[in-house]
Amino acid sequence: MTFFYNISTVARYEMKALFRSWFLRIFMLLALIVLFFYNLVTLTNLNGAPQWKAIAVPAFLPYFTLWLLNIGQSVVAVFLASDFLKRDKKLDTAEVVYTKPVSNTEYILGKVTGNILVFLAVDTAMLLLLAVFTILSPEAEMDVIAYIQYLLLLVIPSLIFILGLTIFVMSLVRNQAVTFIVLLGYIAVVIFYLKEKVFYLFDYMAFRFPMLKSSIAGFVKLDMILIHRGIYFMLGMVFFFFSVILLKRLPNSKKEMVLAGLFGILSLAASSFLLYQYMEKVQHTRQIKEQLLSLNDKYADRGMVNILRNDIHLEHTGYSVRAISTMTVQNPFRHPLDTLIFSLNPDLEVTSVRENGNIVSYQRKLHLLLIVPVKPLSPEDTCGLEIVYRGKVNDAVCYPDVPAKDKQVTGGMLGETPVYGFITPHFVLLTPELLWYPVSGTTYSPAHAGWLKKDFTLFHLHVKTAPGLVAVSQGLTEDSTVRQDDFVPEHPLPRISLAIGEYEKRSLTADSITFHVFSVKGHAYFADALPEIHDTVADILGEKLRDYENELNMKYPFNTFSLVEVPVQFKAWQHLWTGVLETVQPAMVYLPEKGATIWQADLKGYYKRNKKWSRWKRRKRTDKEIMIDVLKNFAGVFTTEGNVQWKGGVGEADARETVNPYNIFSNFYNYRNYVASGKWPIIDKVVEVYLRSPAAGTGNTWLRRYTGLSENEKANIALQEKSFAELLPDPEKRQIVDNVISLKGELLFSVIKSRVTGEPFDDFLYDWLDNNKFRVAQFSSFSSDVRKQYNLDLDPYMKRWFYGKKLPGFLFGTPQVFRVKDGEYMKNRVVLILANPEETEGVVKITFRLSSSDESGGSNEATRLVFLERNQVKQVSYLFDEDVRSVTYFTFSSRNIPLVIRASLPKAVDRPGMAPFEGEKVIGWEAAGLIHENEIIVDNEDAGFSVTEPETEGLLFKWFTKSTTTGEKYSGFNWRAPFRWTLTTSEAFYGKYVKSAMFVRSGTGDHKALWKIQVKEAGYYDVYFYLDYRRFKMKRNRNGEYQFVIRHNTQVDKPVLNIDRSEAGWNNLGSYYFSADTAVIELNNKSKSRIVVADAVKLVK
Amino acid sequence: MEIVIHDLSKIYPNGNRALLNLNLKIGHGIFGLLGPNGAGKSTLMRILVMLMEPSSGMVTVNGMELARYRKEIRSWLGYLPQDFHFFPKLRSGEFLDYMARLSGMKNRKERSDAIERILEEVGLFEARDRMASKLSGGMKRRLGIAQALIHRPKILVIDEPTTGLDPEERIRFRNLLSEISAGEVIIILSTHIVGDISSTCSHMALLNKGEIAFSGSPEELIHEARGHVWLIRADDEAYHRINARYPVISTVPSKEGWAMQVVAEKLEDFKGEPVEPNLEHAYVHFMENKLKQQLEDRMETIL
Repeated sequence: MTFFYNISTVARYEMKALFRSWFLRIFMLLALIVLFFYNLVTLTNLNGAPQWKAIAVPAFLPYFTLWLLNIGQSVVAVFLASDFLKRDKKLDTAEVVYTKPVSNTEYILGKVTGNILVFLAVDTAMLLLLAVFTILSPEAEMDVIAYIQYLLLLVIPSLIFILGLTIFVMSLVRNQAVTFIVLLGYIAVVIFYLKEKVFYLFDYMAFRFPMLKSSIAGFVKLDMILIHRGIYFMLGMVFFFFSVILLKRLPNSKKEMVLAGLFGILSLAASSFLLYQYMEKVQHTRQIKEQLLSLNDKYADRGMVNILRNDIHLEHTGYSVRAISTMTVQNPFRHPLDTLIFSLNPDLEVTSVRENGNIVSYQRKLHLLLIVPVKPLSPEDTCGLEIVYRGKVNDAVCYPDVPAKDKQVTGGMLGETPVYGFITPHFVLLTPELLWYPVSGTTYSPAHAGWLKKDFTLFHLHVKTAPGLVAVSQGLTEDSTVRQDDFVPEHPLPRISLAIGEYEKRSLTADSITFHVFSVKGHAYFADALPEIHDTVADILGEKLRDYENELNMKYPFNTFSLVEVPVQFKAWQHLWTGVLETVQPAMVYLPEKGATIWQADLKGYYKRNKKWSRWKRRKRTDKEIMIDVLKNFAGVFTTEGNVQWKGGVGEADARETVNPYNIFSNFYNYRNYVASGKWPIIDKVVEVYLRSPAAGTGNTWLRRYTGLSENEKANIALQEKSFAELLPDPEKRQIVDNVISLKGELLFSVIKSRVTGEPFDDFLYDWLDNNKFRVAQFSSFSSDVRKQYNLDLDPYMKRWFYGKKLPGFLFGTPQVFRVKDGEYMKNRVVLILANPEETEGVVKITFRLSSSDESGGSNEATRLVFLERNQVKQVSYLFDEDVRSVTYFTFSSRNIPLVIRASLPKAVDRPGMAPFEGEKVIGWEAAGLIHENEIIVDNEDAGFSVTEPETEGLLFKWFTKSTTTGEKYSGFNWRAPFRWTLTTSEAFYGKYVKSAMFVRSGTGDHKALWKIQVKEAGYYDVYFYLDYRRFKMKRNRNGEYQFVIRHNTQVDKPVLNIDRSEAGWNNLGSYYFSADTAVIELNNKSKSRIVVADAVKLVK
Repeated sequence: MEIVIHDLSKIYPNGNRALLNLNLKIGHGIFGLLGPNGAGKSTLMRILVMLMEPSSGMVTVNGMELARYRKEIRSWLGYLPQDFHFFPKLRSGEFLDYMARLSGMKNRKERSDAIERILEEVGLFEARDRMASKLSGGMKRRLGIAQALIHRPKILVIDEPTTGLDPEERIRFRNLLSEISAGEVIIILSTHIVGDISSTCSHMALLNKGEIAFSGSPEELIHEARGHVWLIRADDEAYHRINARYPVISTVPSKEGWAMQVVAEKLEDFKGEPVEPNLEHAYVHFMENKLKQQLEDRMETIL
């Protein structure tokens, strides 16, 4: 046909010309160099070992290759497409072509086809390069189909769209420079501003749109991918057809223009239809969430039954399931229940409900199943329910408490669309978040703090699936040879999950625990990764588990521990009310395929790198030793707490502590215990956080040097404005709620611990939890047991703790250390003064770092808790055999910033005659010596303090030197010297509670800090400036001087403080006569030191 | 094959009237279109090759309206524009292949033979593998001619055909055109080089300010100028007076002074020998005297 012949002719010669253009050749060369080296580093041992994610997920590399090329191609395509029209527009250049019988449509389509084929040729060449590297790599696998899929899904729609748009814009404006600017501007807006808005609707080149393909489940949300790409494909066609109409050439016939217009309109209709579908799906998810929350709010305060037993028969049928859930439920209330409320995924259609064998009526409202029993269920009574249901699962019901924008993607660019469950013919993953079996009550309700319902249920799961597929759930037998279809967990559990796939099972037993690994066929890369320690793997894992048990002081409660491989897209988010993540189930952890996102899972790679490092560092280590390290490192994934995630670029830093999704703590607590309370609904989480804290410590305190405030400090600031009860449901405070709970939890238990005597409270708590395991325990019962054991009534304190807005604030006196005689031994007696001037009680944890008692020269720690009533001062004394190196105060939930304060200790003074007293004494404020009447202090936080800086800086200067703008009040105090006065906090500064100061880069003296002090009584005063530079933890700050100007009476003096010779704390600037007026002390930033810090000044009469 | 132009006008958006009610018939053979710069020649060419639409009027080719049968008529066309550019990244042979394919020559052998033949005919066979951007000016022009001729068009429109060609190339080109014109082909040459028309065209038209000033054979135009072309032998003093008074076609220095060929209705104050006019003389005579006369007659009619 002439139509295709002409298009292919134009395309052919367009390709020829393009391949000979210098612009394209440079692009090809750059692509070749970049990808060559990228493949070299990623797939070979050049960097120690291949990059793990690229190996673990075979589709990753073709995805990355084409993603990268796609970006470059967009820019090049804009240039080339606008260029051809420019060329053709030049006088007479295309006229010889325009006089030929080729139609406008054939011409435009031919040009476009030529452009596309050129890029496809480049892409194919790069994919071939990748294929060669992949084939040569012993570890990497090749997913050939993915190569083609990404070409079709990622590249072609992007090219068609951008080429079409370029040609269309060029046809309108007829200026290549303008077209270039407009299109590049558009690309920049899409990449840097629109980003992931409306679920990546504007992301035409799939720059952020997640399309990573799993080797287990393939593409997820394939319908969204196809629609999204289809929109841009059709839009590209729209632009092509309208460009045909706009082409400055007389068409062969009017019919041609009509047809072009018609096809353009049809393409527009098609893309609009796809857009509508896309928006529908996005909105649908949003609507489901809104509906779900509204229904939960409506029904959450109705009584919910306890589910004592649940037998589930599930049949996996391709893309859906059929199930029968047979439950025994009980009414735990004192009133009858006329409606039994359950939650079940809305896409699971309920076909019948029976009560004790009789068909009963029911109502379905989205995810809710409202069953009306034959007669109301009496208090304490039980009944049997049978619910038959079938269908798919809709993950829109998952995580209604997590903001949508936080859920959009994981894994950064080239990430995965988070998916919460799968039902496909070859793979199934159902976790409780999906509501794949009926659970009692509603899910998250913002309006009702007491919505949470947790049961410990006796589950029995029977699974029927296709041959070749293996089911995995709680209740695995220890026998590794038997294929299991029946799952009966050893204990009642709060949840059950199910995975079905082409699994192969490998098992090891150590002590009394059997470790299972369920890997998909062909994914057992680990089987031969550590050959030297093959026989001791179980022992090493057992030892690691025991270490964790010791750390937590709790025992692992199950007989098995399984690792189950799931698609890389499976994602869990953390809820507000619990630390449980869906990646960790009872006795089970779901790991991404080959541990793709876990670098520790790269056993061979880590072994190779370790070996290399050992050689570099000249450390003699055997292969066996290295392999043991590798395995321990991998096992550490399951016992480590969170990580730190950095955001921001140069000059800015914002960091957040993130949760480790594979930490198995929930197996020790959440799947074993539940402390319920109608009055204090958050108590279970508080207990959980407290039990985690030995492993977590006081958090990443070093982080605050970069972020200004730690997350705990931000939480404390929030607690000064709102009570704990008010903060919990506040969506704007979501980010710090975890810290609020952590602080309040630690505080609660520390207060208890500090008030009780006799059996250590922790032992009591662990025993109590052990006695109440695998069942719901009431906090009132715990409270009652505490009263019996310790004669301590928690209730009054709990009210203040939960509803109060006041926080304690702590002042600390200068520590003293004495060498005293205790019997025949000399001991170190540390005397501390702690004060709480505020209106509510509090507790301080004191950590003493002691020199080691053995010869190693190391150190150990001792901690003590001190409880302070409101407006109270205590003198506390402690005796230690070892030398005390330092003292650190942790103030929990208080007004203090920083929360963690290190106090410097003086040298021990010999006092053999002093009593070796250890204990607490309440003393008066005068005796404490914390407040001095003859002192006037003006801190930078006070009203009398201000700063000035020049106004003459230009916008460009301001832009370049903008301070660390994380949007917070306090910035980090670190080596980055800001150009403008910046407020920061550190234990090195002075402050009643908030130890803050302003600091700025040193300069010419045009930046000034001013303290205006009201002097009531004329006279001579010693002037002090607070500086403790040795605690700045920064080099290059001890040289130089600080230059002051003191205006007193009618005189002006200019004292200078030499930094290196300064005292730690208050430094005397001299004695001056002040009249009863406002004294002004000024500090400027002229100094040889890198920074100048403006903190506090003191006048002492 | 016949092209009929009926009441053709073209007024540009800026108000410039490029063509005004043109009526013309063009049959087989070589048709020359002569006129000064800005006469409207290129506009007419561009309308004929369908690069531009007229403001009014009609053009038919063999009775087929240009506006309705563009595809068919384009398949008969070969066009060489005045300022011919090409695709610099293609070789000469490749470029000709491209043009041949677009002209409908689907058979590979036929195309290949045609390319060889035409390259020989225009003297570019040796340069067939050279990039078009590496050709000299004359070679580029010859390439342009080649692409216009490669598919043996029935209508050949050439704007300023011999621009950039040396004398030998010009002769070659004219001979080539003559060969082609032997068949049922319409060749339209638009030029301001009189020699191109005098050596090849059987018919011609003079275009001036958008209107046909003359239509007929070159002989007819020459006949009009007979008796109005003079050779004057002048000294230095007379040279200037003659230059100021009459259109001078040529001036050759001689022993006596200057041998000047002038065009005039009649000579006054000077003695001259009558000269047998050629087309150049006839063109100048027409433009200078005849047109002036036509204008005066028209003014009289109006007044």
